[in-house]
Amino acid sequence: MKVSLLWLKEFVDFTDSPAEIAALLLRQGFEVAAVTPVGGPVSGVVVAQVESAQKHPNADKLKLCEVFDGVARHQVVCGAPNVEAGKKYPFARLGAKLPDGLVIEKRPLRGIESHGMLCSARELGLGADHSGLYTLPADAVVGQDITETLALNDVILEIEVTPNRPDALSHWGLAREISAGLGKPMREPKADLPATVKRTGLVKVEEPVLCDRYIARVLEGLTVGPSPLWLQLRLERCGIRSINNLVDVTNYVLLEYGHPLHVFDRARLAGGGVTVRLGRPSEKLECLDGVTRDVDGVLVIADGQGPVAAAGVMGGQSSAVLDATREVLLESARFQPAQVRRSRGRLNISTESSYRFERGTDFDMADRASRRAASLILSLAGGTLTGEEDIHGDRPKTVAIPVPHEKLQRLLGLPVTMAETKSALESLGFQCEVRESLLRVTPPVHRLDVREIADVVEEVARRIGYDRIPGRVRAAASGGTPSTMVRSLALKGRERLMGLGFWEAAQSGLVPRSLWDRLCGLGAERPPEVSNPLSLTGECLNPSLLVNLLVCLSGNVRRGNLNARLFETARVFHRGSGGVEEADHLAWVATGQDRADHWRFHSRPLEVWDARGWAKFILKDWRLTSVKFEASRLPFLHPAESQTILLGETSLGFYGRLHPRQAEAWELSPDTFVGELNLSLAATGKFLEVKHAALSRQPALVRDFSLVFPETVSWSSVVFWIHRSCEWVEGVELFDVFTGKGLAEGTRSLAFRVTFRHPDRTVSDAEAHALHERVLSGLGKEFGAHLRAPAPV
Amino acid sequence: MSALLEQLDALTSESLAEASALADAEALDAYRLKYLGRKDGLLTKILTALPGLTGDEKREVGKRANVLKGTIESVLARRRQALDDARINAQLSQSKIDLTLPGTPILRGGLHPLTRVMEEITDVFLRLGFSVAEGPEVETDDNNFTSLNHPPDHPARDSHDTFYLNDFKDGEGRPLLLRTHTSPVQIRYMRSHKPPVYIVAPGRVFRHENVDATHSYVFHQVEGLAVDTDISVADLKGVLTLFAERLFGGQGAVVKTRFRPSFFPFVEPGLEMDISCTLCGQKGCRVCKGTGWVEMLGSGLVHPNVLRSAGCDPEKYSGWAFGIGVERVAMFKYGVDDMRLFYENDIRFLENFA
Repeated sequence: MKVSLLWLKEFVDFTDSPAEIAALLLRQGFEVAAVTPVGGPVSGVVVAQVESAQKHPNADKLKLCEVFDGVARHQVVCGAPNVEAGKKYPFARLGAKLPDGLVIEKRPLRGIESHGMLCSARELGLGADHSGLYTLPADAVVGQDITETLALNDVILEIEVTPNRPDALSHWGLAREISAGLGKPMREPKADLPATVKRTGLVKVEEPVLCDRYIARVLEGLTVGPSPLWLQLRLERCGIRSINNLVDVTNYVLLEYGHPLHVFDRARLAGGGVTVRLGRPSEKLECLDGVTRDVDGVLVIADGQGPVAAAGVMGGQSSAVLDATREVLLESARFQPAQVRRSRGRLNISTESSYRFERGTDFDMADRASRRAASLILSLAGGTLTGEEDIHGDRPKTVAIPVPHEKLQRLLGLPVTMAETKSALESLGFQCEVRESLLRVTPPVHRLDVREIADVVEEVARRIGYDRIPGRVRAAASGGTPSTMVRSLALKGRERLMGLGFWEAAQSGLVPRSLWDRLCGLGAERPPEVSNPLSLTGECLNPSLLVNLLVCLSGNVRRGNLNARLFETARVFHRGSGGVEEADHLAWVATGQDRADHWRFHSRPLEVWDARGWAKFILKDWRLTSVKFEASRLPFLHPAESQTILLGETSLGFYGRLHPRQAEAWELSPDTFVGELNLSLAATGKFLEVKHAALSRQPALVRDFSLVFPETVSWSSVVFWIHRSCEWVEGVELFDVFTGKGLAEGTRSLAFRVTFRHPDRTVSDAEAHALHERVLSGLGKEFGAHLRAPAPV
Repeated sequence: MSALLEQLDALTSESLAEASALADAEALDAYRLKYLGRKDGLLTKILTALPGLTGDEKREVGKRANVLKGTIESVLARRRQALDDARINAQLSQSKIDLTLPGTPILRGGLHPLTRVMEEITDVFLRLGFSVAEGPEVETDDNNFTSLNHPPDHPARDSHDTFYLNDFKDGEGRPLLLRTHTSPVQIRYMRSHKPPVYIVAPGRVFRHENVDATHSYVFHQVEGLAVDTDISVADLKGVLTLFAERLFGGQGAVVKTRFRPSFFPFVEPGLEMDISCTLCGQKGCRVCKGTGWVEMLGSGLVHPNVLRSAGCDPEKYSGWAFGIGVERVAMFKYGVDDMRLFYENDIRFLENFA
């Protein structure tokens, strides 16, 4: 909210600088976003009238003007296109000083001396307008110092008022805070109204819960016209456009007291009175912004024919004040915040008025604001007050809050005296009653947000200042658990992938349906969706981290990171029977070569063996047991070069080469590999304990084998057989796989090394021989393996 | 003096004079043979004559011959060593390697800056004995708003533009939503744990907002909550000040904090914590908008309504809570000027933080 410093000074006397006032407000909870002087420092500039303006004899675009500044007439040469005889402009006399430092001197322009200068807005430091002179209204007083006429010494503060403080959404409200902060009294603006007739029948309130006060005042014999300059300037500097004197007054009082008002042209109200009721189905209202809106369910002000205003939000065109308006009904009402919020939601407009009603208005202020506005209208537009009606329910009760002083101090963490607490609260308009150690605090009617002891603690704290409260550090008394199992698995996974050259990515959790379909194909699982996606977010809640990782991978490749590797740990979502099911996942993607190009060590494309290595590495590091691998049927993976990872019988994740069609669709190389693991599921698994196994001191017996197997025999089944069928096997290590030349179709040669070690003694030669034979003959019998024939010489 | 002694003297000077000229292994062998050769070595001959001598002379000659033998052997050893060194050095100096060539490349990887910051923040509180808590990202209206003292139709909800879900509703028929802050974790945790409660809850949150350099529809927060029998504003100030020092201080940088009243519906009193701008040393810069202070986090004593809705008696317990935006901290700490960079995941960007 924009606030004028000069306006604040009307209500409380202070000489503090704008920066000091900003600091005071900040201490009391009002952030000041900007402090902007209206104009620059100006001296020697006054209001002057151009009495004549003739063409300069030596220049087409210059005019020769005679200017009267209240003291004397001056010959001035002026180049502005809008200079006109009879009009008033700011006039810089000789010796005047402008904000940019320019000092006005007598100087010839095309042969004729100019004794001073007529000014544009920019020359006075008032914004950027330099298209012509700043035209002053006809009622500007010739000879008056321009600083006064245009309030150039004003400063605009832009203040952020939190939603709990509607009472501070006005100059009066903020002046109240300044008054408390400085310990200076408040001064009420004038609102002298002649006594008038109490009327009935002007107002009917059908919804007393939604509108607990409606004050109407009727003013007649008015003259609509432009507002005086000072009023226009104040409105404009606070961000409201000047319209005419009647409408301007309602806005002026809104800014002054924070209470929204409305004026109806009474001659255009069917029946001359108003009814407060709910809008009915199919009722419409043409609002002041020219848009016709449906008002079903909106609280409206209606005349004899239908809605004429959306209560608390915006007036209607049909009863708006026109130039010809002579008589008005001035509305000052109090509408229920929740209803105004609903109304403006339905109407889809937010106004200064709805903003304040939504946050809550002051019951007493409704009448003060009405009186102030009526008195201003009478002074600006003439006319008389001919009647008034005030329909209201009970004044909101202010209830005393019992505050044990000891508890207040305990919550503050600071000892304060009862006297200090009392004076802090009283400076803000609270009434305090002390009964030994109990304080009974009654908030003023404009502070109904203060309801219990915590609220009172805040009021005291913001008056005495948080700086006074010392900090206290105590270790938590709960004995912290650093980590959940999911978190520690995630941390380990991250560490491993980082070491393998993967970069962690962060993403939004939302994906467009089209990208999810691209990955999984139409007819796949339908992810949960948001009903109001933004254009760039996509509507689906991620069921897998892959989609966004592939988007990022592809983006990196496009930008030249050809060997990109990314990973992420984040939440994924599925449709579950009882709602949305969430799980934490770890996923990784990699593309391109196994290493950066190097002069000595040549890189090669990534292979599925890399992908398998990564997956095994992570799982091994977790020490997770009961993990199995089996062929994957996931549509986005290469059917031969991918596996599903199982925990027991449940799918824990997968790894493998991206399906060639997918690689194409994401604009990635065919050598792109992905993997994903469900951390939440993994966390439910069993983990191998860390235990030291004694190191054997017996020598190992090592035997190499090179056997030809049918291709259908898997390596894992060979390993499994050896472990199961031979004694003392410590390890089986594959060191060569060969197919092709010299081997029969459908066979391959596997070369491997078996290490045997007896726990207690050396394996004898005879035993070694027997073991060797057992492997050879056993594998032969079990799998049809035979020794590889020596290569023909 | 006997002839043998004269011979020994002559041999001593002769052998020493020759020693310096020994240039290769062959010369060394010849030298050794000449003096120490088993049959014809000059010194050997003297030694073989020893048994024929008597008394003092035998002792004298024997002693001096042995000294000479030792000298010759050590000369031989030294020369052999010197020759060997020269040979190896000559060999090594042959190999010329340009060690400015690139070494074996190690693939680098690293954590995302947001993770780094989130872990740093979490770590400060873990060290103070807080526990880590987490909650779902899909929440009910009640946990996200109402229980946190944002009743329906409250204007404070305006600052939480919300994503709602299709098809999924809470028990009261209101659509589920994507949490707009990590604060629902407060409610969930207090409902399942009796005080004392000391938790820190890092997580991802969502706002229905358009994206620009300082706004994102997804961002991260870390929530903190302490509920106990004797919690005051002093605890909040103490811990958060320590936190700011740990997170932003170090390397000589001094961080000051400033607490000022503010409003967040789920706390009362509500406080905003500003930290002194470490970028300009409070001289005023673009980041602190010339004020010397940077807004860092929102905090306050837990609102009695929140304690009540989570099943804690505000007569018995009080608490303090804070919420901090991770992106904001990362931007300030690392000098990132556009929030969108965090979600593009360009490796060139990510490399800055490893």
